[in-house]
Amino acid sequence: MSEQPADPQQEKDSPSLLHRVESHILGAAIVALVLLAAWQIIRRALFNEAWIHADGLIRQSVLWLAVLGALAATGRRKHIAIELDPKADQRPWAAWKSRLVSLISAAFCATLAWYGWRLVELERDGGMELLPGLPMWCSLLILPIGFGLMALRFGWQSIVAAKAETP
Amino acid sequence: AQTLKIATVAPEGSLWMTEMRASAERAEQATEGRVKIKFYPGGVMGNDATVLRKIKLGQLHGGALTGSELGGLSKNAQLYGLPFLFDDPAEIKPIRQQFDQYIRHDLNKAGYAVLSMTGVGFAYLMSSDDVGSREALEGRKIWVPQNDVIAERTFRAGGVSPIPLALPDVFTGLQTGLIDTVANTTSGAIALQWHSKMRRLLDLPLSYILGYVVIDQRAWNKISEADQQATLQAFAQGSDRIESENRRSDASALDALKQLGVQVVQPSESERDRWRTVGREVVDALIAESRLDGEVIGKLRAELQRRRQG
Amino acid sequence: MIWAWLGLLLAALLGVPLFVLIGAAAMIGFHQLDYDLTLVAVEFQRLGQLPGLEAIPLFAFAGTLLGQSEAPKRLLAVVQAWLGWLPGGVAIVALCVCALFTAFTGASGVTIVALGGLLYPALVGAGYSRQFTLGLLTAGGSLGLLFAPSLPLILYGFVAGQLGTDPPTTVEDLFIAGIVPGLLMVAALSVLAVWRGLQRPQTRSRFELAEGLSSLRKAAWELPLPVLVLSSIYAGWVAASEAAALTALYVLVVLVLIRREMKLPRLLDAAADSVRLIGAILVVLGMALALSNWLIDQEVPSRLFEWISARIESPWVFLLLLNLFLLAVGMLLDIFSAIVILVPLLMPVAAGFGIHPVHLGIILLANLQLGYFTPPVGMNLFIASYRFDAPVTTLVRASWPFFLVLLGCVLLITWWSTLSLFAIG
Ligand code: NA
Ligand code: NA
Repeated sequence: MSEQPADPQQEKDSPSLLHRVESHILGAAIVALVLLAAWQIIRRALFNEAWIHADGLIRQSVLWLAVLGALAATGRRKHIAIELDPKADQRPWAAWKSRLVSLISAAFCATLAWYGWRLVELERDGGMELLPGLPMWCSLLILPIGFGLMALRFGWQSIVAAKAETP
Repeated sequence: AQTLKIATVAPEGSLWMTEMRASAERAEQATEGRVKIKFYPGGVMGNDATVLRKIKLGQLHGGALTGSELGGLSKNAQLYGLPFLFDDPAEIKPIRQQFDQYIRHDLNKAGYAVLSMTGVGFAYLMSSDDVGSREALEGRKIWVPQNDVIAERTFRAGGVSPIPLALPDVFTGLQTGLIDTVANTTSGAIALQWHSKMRRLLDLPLSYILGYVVIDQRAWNKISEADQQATLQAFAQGSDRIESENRRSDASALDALKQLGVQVVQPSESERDRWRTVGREVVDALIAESRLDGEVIGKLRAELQRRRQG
Repeated sequence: MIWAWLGLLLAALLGVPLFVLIGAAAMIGFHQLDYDLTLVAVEFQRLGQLPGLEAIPLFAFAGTLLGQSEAPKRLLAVVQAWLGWLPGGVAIVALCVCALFTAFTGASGVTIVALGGLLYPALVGAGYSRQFTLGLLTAGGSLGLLFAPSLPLILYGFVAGQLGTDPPTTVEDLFIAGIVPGLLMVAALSVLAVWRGLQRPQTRSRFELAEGLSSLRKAAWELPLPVLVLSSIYAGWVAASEAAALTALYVLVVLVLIRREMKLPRLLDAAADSVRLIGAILVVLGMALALSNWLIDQEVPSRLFEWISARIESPWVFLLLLNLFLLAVGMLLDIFSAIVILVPLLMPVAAGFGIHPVHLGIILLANLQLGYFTPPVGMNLFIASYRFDAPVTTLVRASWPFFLVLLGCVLLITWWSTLSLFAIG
């Protein structure tokens, strides 16, 4: 019995270069958010100053973190799911079921990536600005790109089966 | 029958929503049910950017939005909201009769029919501390809505520290002293329950708040001309009622504030001039960045000048 | 179209990720109305607009960093040294921490994400079973919603204030009215914890001052965190919504610069772990926005309420049906939409039965709090399932005693208005 919580992130499979690079990008992204939010507080507390665009940027970064995090969670096969069968892993058809699940997820993500692209096009046609000079559609590009990559990842997982999970 | 789905951040039960619903009913009766209007109040459809996207996609047909929220669609939507433009609340009525057409024209060009333009009232600076002079204002911390660039630049230029916060943080921010000054109509301040901390009100109209109901022209043009006129008339009636009711409730809110101990501060003539200059310079800078329409603003300024002299 | 829904049901039985199920349901729903499906993307991008949502990534970051450092051991040592003698002591501390945290974050699953990594080892280390611990943390996730300055309480005050209720509703009155019902819930769960603690006497220890002081010294950098954050808010240095940013900064500075427990690569790894956690949760939340929007567009809550209110004869029946209705809505809608949509519907009917508007607010929030972990679709069940890597079915089993205790509290709060109203004019 370990004292640590059964933390889904603690079991680290042999990190490939891709996963390592991805980890560092994700880590840098959230640290940047912390520093931006903290900078806003410190500037205000010490110098009575605030950057009017900081809050909009902080909020938009939540969307980015959501999509990037979901993409990374896909890579580790760690999405929230309801498994009704407690012995699902031990069934003979487990690998095929997992492929089918990945295929359905890939189809959904591809569809959403397409509609994300439609949203970007809609926004390019007379939309708003995120920062002065930076149009909002640039930020919304995360939807087609993120869900597109997620579709590829799920698609790949529907071809190669999951490594046998250790209990 | 054409059903128009309109989103707004105004909460159910507010004067605005009550009158809008009454206007919708009048429109439905006058058109014998050919025009039906459905409201989604309380911001449940999302913020202004999201509502505008949903209008483009056809889920919604219109929105009740403020001038600053329509700023991205029309350079003139914020015309009356420009800082320290008016000296006296009485100036607004004749000006609107002359200049509303420019705003309507702008919004039509952007693809929207204007169902109504309704004056909410004048915003004033209210504070828990002194706001009467430049020196006093230097110590104040004034709330500005996040992304409200005009307000932010104006207060910065006027020597007050603008503190951008989300609306839900304003109430607690006033309680804890994170901010001590807000700009709003008197009845707005009471409705948001900000008044308990207020001690001073600067008697200088800051900006005129205007609420628009805009409808996507694709949906609007499906309605026959006669029905359009009947609908416009129903909403114009509602608009008039809201405006007169707002004037009354602003006046009674001011009385209520005075009874709570709020002191109405008269700024000196030089302080008035200072704020007017600040307002003009900020607007000029925004015109130079082509975020506002210099031609129409020039006409408006000339007209105000003419009336003040005449 | 029936085939699309059947296909979705099949996908659900296969165990397809929740965000795919919810998103696909929204797509099918919008498609049936002939709407442009770009709406699903529009709803999802609202994740970048919701005020206060940045608290989820910021607290998740702080919680993951603390959880992967030596901080849980240090904090557990403090709690065991000072409260090890008290049966249920550790669990009571955990409940109070959860309630305090939710009061400031507004309960959107943040509590479980941020505190799970700290409280889970503390509770298991104190001898509680995994089952009990999971149940406590799932229930604790929305505990504290009734305490000031919780955002849902303020929002209710604002929405009800606009309706011109008689007597008028003020936020201050709600803050006061929430205290006793909120304490009742904390106390009831504490009793459950003490009862469990008494069943395991072997884990109790004697208090020793030297050990107590040394544990405090060792945790000298972690313990002041809540005091620092709360006093910064009350001193007016930061907004309540910025508590998350301040916490994240403090944790970063303490672990990386002061204690030097985390070198840069380990910091980035831990941070990346937190982003995966955030992504898995927010992607579900984003799809839930789309499904909620479909419900709102079709006016499902109003129709359901009309159906119910046509079948009421007495205030008691009204309150019972209200409880059931709110539980259902609490599972399906986010709490802010629920308040904005429901309060105008409920207020006139409640007024007709002579229910005080402030009491109605407490009833509403108490029910929505329970809705967060009502099986089968309460959001906190899924968040806890992910955070603790346990099947949802396990969490439902683990949290039902807590659910029943809180359900009892909610019924008491609903039917005994004095609990809420005795201190207001
Ligand atoms: Na909690
Ligand atoms: Na909910």
